[in-house]
Amino acid sequence: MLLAAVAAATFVLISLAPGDTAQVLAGQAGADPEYLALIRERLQLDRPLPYQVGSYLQAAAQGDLGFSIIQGRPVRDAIFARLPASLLLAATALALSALLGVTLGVIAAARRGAAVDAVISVFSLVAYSLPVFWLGQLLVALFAVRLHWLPAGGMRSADAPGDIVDVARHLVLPATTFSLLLATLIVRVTRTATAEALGEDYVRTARAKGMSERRVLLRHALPNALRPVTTVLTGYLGIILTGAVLVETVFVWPGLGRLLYDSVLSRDTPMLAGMLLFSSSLVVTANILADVLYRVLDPRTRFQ
Amino acid sequence: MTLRPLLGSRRFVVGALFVLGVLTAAVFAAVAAGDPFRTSETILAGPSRAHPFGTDELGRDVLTRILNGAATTLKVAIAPPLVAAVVGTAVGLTAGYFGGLLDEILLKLMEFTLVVPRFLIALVAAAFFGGHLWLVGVVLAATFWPSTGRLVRAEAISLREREFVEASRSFGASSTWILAKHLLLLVAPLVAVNTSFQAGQAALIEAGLAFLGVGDRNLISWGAMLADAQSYLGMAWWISVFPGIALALMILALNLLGDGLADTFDVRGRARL
Repeated sequence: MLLAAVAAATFVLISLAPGDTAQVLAGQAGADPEYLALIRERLQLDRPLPYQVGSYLQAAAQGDLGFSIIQGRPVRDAIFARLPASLLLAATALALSALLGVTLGVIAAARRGAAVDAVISVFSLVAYSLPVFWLGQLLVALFAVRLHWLPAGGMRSADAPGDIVDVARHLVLPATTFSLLLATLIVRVTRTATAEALGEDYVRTARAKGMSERRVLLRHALPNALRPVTTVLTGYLGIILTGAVLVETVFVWPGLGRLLYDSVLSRDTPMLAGMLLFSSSLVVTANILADVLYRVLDPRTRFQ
Repeated sequence: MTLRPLLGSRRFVVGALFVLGVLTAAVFAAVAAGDPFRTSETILAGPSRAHPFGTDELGRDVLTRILNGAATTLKVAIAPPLVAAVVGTAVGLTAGYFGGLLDEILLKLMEFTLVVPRFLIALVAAAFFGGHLWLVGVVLAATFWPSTGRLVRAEAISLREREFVEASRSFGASSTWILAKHLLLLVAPLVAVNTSFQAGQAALIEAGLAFLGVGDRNLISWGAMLADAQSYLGMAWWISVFPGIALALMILALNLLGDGLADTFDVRGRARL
């Protein structure tokens, strides 16, 4: 229901934009009027807007997101073709950032008020404020342009198709950039949540039993702290998706973010509408998943 | 509530001073600095006495352009979050305090606007309608207010059952009086924190759009300067590094402001972006 409203709104917004889609598709100005009329008829651009919205929604409900003339294939196929690259980048970045973010967050919480805590908190605030596209640009300038250690962009070299090491080398810079953005979010949430958990009764009990501080932290406080971390992160999904678009654009990574950027530049309306719908369904799905995950992680809610 | 404790927060003071500094720079640029569009023969020259931050690919002075770009960032970082703060507070208080059907409708509206990431909406809008700064501002205000509204609503719901509100009501105070006199003051810190974080996000989004080439081409934007720098990374680090530092410091300052406010008024954890 929510998704249908989003899809309709997106469609109307894009349709209201100045410029004639038929004109764009026909190429240069001054195209044959008969040809323009044919394009309009084929794409049903001559029908009233509510009709267009209605038929779009009906098709979308059945998984048909329309056809992208620019990509030369159905929107759904184009999205699924780009999905693996995006997932690879996102999964690598998420793994790296979870490792870095949770470690730093726990250290900061354990040494609350100490110098380490202050350093970590300043680091996460500064890193959070770094525009992700600028960071990417600096890394490219240093490691690709100046030192020639790593490729500046893309996912594969032309002369080494399908080589895993080659893909990995291409992955280093975008994954580092992206994971730094994610890590800053994770550090802040982990620190707050762990600090809160350390104030709970069960932690006092564990300490009273003579358990080592390290064990208290890792066995008792951290598992309980990870719960809010997962839910809060889904709340940041908008920032994460935005980061993906910018990182993929800077590094010419052949994923969905780059596809979105290319579609914006080429005014590929069906592609854009489909991708916005796809990203909003991602947000909705993530929220549902977070609820489920919360149940799994918190035994107390399981029996209700 | 007094604002004095804020001066005790180092983060707030540093952030506020920096934002004031950028404001001064923008005013200075408007009245005294050189012409940011003037080209010269000395292209891609490194930092020197004549050009402290070097020159770009058209021989334009990078420092002058950074100073002139400050106004763009400030406009977009200040206006939309403030509009969102006013609208969000009004809607959030109304929905939370009165509840019922009105609340449900307003909540649905707010959730609806939050589903699509605002950068993507801004990107598509800017690409199709031209990235005029006011348009970006409108999109930001339109997507910021629901998150403010949702926070305020939750706060209003927990506040409306409190004793002092009941007491006020029993004295015959009208709903308008209670909302304006009590609840407004109590949600103000939360709104202030949220608004500063949104300001940082607004600056970032404007720069991001300009970086992707869908920004306002008639304005000097730090993001657009970074986009221009992309082609000359090997030759001239200064056309990427200096505008980038300006942008990062600006966003950092706005986040520090938010952090300082959150610490001082103890609303940490409740305000989110």
